[in-house]
Amino acid sequence: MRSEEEANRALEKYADMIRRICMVNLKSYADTEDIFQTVFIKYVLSPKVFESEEHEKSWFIRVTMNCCRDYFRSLQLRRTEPLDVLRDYEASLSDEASEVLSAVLSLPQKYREPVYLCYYEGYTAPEAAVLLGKNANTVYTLLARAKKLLRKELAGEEDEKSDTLSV
Amino acid sequence: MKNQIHSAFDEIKAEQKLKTDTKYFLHELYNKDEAPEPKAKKGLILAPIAAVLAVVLSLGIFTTAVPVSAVSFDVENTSVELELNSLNKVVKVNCFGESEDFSELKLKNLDCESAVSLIIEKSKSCNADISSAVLTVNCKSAVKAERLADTITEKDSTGLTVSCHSSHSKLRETAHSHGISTGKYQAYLTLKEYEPDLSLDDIQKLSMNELKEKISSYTNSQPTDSSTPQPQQSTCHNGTTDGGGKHHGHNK
Repeated sequence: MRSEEEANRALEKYADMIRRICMVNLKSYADTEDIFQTVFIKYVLSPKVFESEEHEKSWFIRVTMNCCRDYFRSLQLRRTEPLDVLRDYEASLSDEASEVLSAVLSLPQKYREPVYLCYYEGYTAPEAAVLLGKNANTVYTLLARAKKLLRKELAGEEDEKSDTLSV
Repeated sequence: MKNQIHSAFDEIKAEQKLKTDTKYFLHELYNKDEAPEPKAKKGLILAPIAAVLAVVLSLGIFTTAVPVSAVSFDVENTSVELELNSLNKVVKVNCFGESEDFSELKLKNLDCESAVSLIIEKSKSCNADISSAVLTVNCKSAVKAERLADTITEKDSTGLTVSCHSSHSKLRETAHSHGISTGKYQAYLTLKEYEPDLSLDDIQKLSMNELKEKISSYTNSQPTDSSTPQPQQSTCHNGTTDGGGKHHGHNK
């Protein structure tokens, strides 16, 4: 069992990352709280010795994603809309960030995680494939399709904006 | 687009409340693991329960398994002794002398009256002289011994001679160590007051009826006064034996 100091250090270091993964996968703040607690209980009780910071980070990503998937399986949760989660952030986000995140979160579930890992965390497609337990080529395909959908979504918003301005 | 996504996600930070709540949750988790309080509380609750159970259990064992009185049935050269618990149930059966016929009787756990009735029936079927049979009740308390004797003889129509003694278990143990029933040993002690040279070997050859006759011959020859027991009447003898017992005899 890890010490409380170690748990608090990990919490300070990975809280933002876990929060983002939760946002990609979950729908509400209450769910996020549950995931935080579950992830850190797992961390505290895990006997795993991390070889490096990178190893520890990838452990957190994998565990958080798995927890989110388990949570997502609940039928009750599936009824809620995926974009509900952004309402918590509406006041603090810039317009551009809000648009981009809305576009990302409107993507089907299977595209969101590869997009987050490759476009934000900076993992390569093969690295993301390991974390997601998928084939590298599958991740490449998912990214390509996600990019296409995002472009379409964001371009549409750009068009709407320019239309409004011209009027 | 990559930069746009990066900048958008960069604006997402874990809320301070979320961090504080998780820290508090972890702190609680650690304190729960460290503090042995629940176990101690559990122990505090369980200890008195265990003590009460132990007392109840030992009381139960004492009530049901420990012999507190004995009833000896002596007829001719046969002796059957029933050791009874505080509920007057048979917990042990001891047979002495020519008692092969009685050893097959299942008397354990029967109440005293039923066990005595079965012994009498068996004696009759073996053609034993029931009129010469003597029933001796041994209890620590004289009152209880008489009460038990009354209970046994209440249903009996054979006219058994019943004698009651208050004695402690040591007397019973001494009698058993000499291979005779407590009733016969009690009779030996009574007779020994009149015949000091009498040995246990002499007694073992005599039947209970013969012993009874011998005692009667001594008691009848003594001058009658208010404290002297008369045959066929309620009698009372004070024992002067190593068993330290008192004798309350009465013929029925």
